[in-house]
Amino acid sequence: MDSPKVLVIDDEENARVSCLRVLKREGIQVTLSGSGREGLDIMMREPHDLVLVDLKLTEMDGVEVARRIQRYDESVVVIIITGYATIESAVAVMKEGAYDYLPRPFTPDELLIVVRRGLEKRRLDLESRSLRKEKEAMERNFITMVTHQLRSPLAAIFQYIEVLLSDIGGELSEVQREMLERARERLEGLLQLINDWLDMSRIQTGEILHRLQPVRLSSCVDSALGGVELAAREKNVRIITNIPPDLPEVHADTDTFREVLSNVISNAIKYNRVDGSVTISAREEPEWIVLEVTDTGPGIDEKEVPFIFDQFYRGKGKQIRSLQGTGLGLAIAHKIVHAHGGKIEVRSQLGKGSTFSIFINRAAPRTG
Amino acid sequence: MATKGKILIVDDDLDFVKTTKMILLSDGYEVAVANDGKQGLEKIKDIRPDLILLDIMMESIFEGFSLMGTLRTSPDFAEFNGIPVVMVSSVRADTGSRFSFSDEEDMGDIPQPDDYMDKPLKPKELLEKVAAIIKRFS
Repeated sequence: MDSPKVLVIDDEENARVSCLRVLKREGIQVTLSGSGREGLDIMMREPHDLVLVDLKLTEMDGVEVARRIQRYDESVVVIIITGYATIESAVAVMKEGAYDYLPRPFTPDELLIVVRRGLEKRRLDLESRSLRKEKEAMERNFITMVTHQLRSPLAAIFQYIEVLLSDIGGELSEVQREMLERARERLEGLLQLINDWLDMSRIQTGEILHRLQPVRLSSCVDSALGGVELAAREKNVRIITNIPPDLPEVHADTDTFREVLSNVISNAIKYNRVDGSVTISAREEPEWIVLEVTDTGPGIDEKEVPFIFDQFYRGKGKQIRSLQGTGLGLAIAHKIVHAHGGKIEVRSQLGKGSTFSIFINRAAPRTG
Repeated sequence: MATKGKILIVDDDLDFVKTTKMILLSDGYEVAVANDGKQGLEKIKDIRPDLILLDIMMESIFEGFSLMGTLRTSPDFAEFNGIPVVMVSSVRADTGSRFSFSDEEDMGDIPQPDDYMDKPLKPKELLEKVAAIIKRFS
């Protein structure tokens, strides 16, 4: 803090001048005022770090002045000057937010001790306030910056590999090509992990609640299917959808809910057998709209069921371990569904397949 | 034969510049490079590119956007303000749909680019997009 500013409000001129003399010697900038109203005007025009105010002012008393200053800026330190008889009311003023009081008569040293301590508090307050601001700004930028820092080098590496694999840097031998393809696959896995982690930390559960609106479940399913068609074709997995056309709309945030569907459906394809099938069906229950995704994959061991929605949990089966995954897809789905006020459950039988059920609220019927 | 078009890459990541340049050269484009926003604006005047590949995050998050703003609105660039811009970033550019830039209000008045692409750029996708945009704007 540059040279601190102190405002003295007292209707006795002698008292004001002696304060001025003492504080000036300490390198403090002092402003004097003879009334509460004038003092407040001065504060509005030119903020001071600390205000010394006499409790017994004729026009507006010290209590009111202290209260108004605090309302205007609560980090301003207010010290009440009071006579012997009114220590009790000084205590009352401190309850109103004054920082300290100074009983009259006081020596220059007593004045200095109280003022110095008040200014120190002010300095610490300002410091912690600016630190807090800085921290909030950092948190806001954190995710964007981290992503950038992590993804930039990976993207650069990835692009080198892409260029080499497209023979732009010269022709590759089979062995070289194979190794680069493998490297690309691992990198893809890593990028996916970063994306999933980002999704996970960006899901502001409170915000989802504000974005809920009536949505047709079938349109969510359709758009989720758009992203997984290729994977299904590659594995020759048949996708059967069975959503009643008269199903009521659900109460959902389209963007995140689509993410849930696409995570669950792409799992059903990924952890499935070649030539298997995925059945997507929906029905109405008294409380919920239920969407079920059933696969013909290896199934989940009963012992593992309680953990599959945990972050970074991956199935122990050999078949599952042979596939790349981040262990975040279902955790994301779980978090989003819960933010919707719904739930997600799984039934499974080893060797037969699994059914994931998503329970979600129906939307209030549209009016008009 | 004349080149298929002049492309200006504005990016401070030299590895990215190098590989992107190789991809574009391999398909017969002429390529110029600028490593920051200021240089980018100079090059735009110098060579009048047919398309600009602009990294969103150079020195600061806003350097790319600031170049965009100058190009589209400054009277100095009146004769260049129709040059198409593709914004490139390693922060997912599909922000538009699912997760928009954290402070959408902040982005309010900034002119939008003509297209977005995510890093890493895949050679085939990049070349397809570049060809399509140049065709659309010529």
